Amino acid sequence: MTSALALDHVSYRYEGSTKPVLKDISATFERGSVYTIVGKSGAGKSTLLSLISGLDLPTKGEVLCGGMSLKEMDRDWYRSWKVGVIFQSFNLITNATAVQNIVLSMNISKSKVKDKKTHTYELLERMGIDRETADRKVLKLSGGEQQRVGIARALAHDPAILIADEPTGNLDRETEAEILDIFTRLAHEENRCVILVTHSRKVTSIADKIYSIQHGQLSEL
Amino acid sequence: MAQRGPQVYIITNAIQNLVRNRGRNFMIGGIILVMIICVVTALMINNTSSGIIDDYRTRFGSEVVLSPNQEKIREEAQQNSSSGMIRMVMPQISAQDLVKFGDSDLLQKAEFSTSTNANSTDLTAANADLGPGGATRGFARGGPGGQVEESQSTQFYFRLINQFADFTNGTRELSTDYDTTTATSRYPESINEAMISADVMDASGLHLGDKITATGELTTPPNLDVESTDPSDLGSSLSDLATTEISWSLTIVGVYTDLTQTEEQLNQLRSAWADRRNEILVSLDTLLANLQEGKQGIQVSATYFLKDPMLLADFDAELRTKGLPDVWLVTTDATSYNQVVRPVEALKSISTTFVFVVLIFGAIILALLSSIAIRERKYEIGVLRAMGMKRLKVVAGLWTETLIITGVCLILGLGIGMAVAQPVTNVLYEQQLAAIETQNETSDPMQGGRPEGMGGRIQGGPAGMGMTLPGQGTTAQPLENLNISLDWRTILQLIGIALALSSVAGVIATTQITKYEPIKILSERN
Ligand SMILES: Nc1ncnc2c1ncn2[C@@H]1O[C@H](COP(=O)(O)OP(=O)(O)OP(=O)(O)O)[C@@H](O)[C@H]1O
Ligand SMILES: [Mg+2]
Repeated sequence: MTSALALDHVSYRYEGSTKPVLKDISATFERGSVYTIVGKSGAGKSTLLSLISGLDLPTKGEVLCGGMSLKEMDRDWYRSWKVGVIFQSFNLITNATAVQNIVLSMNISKSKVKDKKTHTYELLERMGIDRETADRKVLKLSGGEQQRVGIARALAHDPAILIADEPTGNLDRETEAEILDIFTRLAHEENRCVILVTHSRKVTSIADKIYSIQHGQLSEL
Repeated sequence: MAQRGPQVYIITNAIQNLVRNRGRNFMIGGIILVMIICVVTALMINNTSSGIIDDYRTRFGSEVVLSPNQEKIREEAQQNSSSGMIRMVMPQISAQDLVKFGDSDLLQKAEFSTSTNANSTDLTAANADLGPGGATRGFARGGPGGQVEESQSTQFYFRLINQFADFTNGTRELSTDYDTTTATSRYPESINEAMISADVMDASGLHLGDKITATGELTTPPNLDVESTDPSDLGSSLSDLATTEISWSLTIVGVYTDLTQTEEQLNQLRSAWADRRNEILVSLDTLLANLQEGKQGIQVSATYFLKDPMLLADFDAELRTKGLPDVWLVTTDATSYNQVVRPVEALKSISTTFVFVVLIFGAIILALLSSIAIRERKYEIGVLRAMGMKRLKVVAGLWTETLIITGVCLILGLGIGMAVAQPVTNVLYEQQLAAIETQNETSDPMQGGRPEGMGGRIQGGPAGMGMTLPGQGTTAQPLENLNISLDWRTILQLIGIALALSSVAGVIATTQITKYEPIKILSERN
């Protein structure tokens, strides 16, 4: 069986910089499991996620999804349909409401859900965001609320692979536990592949496998 | 995978964006609105000017004038005179030639006005007791308006003419209710069909469908080139004129009523010939059928209208090959054309320049604005691209926003532009009308040499009686006011311009977005 996602000798160097951030990394990510990636600040965690989420291509090596290289794939389609990404800095459209952000994303994903708005309200409700907050502009939401809107957006089109960069960084313990519960169920009950970057021990505790990045190398802990 | 109407969200999102960014969109909209008002006004003025120019060209500018070159005639006369006496002879163009000249691809139309004097034993003339008139023999000396030499010759009661303009200008009326038992009164359609006044019909006891015979006379003109020192020679030569009898067998198909002659005028008539009711209306072909080479008696005058004034030189050349002598000048009414059309053309070119300047400046401003707008929205675009929105769709979204703004501005601009354009054009057109009026006062385009076959006006009877000056029925008066209605041409031009304007924004957006990689946009921001 091919892996949900595989890194095949991936190296990455930012344009204009001399030092590579990632050096010859190989790893596989399967459906039904939760993965966490840990590492110091500046180790290259976000960089690795941008390669996994198809926002960028490795300088060397391949990122494979279902055995197919992202280089050969329509990466717009991959981003909109295959993966759901929770960004470290949320990346929401700030002058639109939470609902508008998610409905727009569902439209881009060509989601087959009929009543996208209702679906969105329900999803946000699960994230602990009520209707009134959902109809507020993102600009006027707290950091934690924005983070939860970001999570809801990533889940809205039911992606096979969920990628999250510090998804609980701004959340209190209780909310964090609820969100982590959702992630665990996605992996174990709905057979998704969940990849989380984190500093938090709490998050690491739900992982089926933990990777660590150091000096551009990825190693299993 | 694709949903029903999957791209509708681009439009709804565009509308949401417009509302979200009200401030900036009002500014962009304002600029577009001002541009559209300018363009609407200028386009309307432009199209109106074109209308004036076209109107003028069809009415005056393309009317060809054939006039004798007086200089040349004088020169030739001086050269030919052996004795001290100089006699100038006005050249003439034969009726056959006038007809031949009219058959040209360069002409929009050729109008012929023909007439001849006639008698008919089948008809009793109106005012018959006044006796006949209208001697045909006579010719002019000393150019148009010169004296007419008359001799004792055949007198006539009737005239055959092809003046059907009278029915449109209201000086004659078709009597449709006349004698409906045999047939319905109508206009002559084929050769040898005639139309007669109700009075003559009644006096002659005729019915529709009856046949009549009309006779006329052709004469061979004296050889005027022969040098003669004694004016009396000329007079004596008149009586030697050879005459040829011609006749028409006509079927009466129509009856008319004359609407012009008052009781008073009728009392002043000196002959039955001068009575308009004694005119027999026939088709041009009917009259031309009896033309004979080198003989006079059927007057033909022609007015030619070129398709375009620019074709004058070609037409001139064509007439020369068809045998028009050098003494004739072929011109259009260039002075009035220059006086009337030049200012309008200037106005048109100003408005054209104005449109271009507005468009170029507007396009630059719009390009800058949309460039700034795109940069402001770079992050938003990065998010959309990160969500997997295709570049083209992002562009389509931005373009939709511009299109909506442009569309709204188009409607507003059309309204405001029309409100502005009408008064502006009124002022402009009034100026043009005034110009045409003063123009007509100073040089009447009716005057001056016109092509007149076989003596034309000179040979006629009492002036103004039944004689129609060439071109009179065809020269329309200028429009009283020029109503600027929004025609489809202007609307289509505007839509084209609006599309081009929003395309500028669209192209800017496309080129900029193509440069943006979502990862870069997002990492720059973070
Ligand atoms: N656009 C860029 N151009 C050049 N260098 C970059 C760029 N973005 C990140 N880097 C560098 O690459 C390295 C890895 O960055 P990355 O954002 O992946 O770290 P991280 O592990 O996510 O850190 P953190 O835990 O603080 O989020 C860092 O040294 C960073 O300075
Ligand atoms: Mg990071």
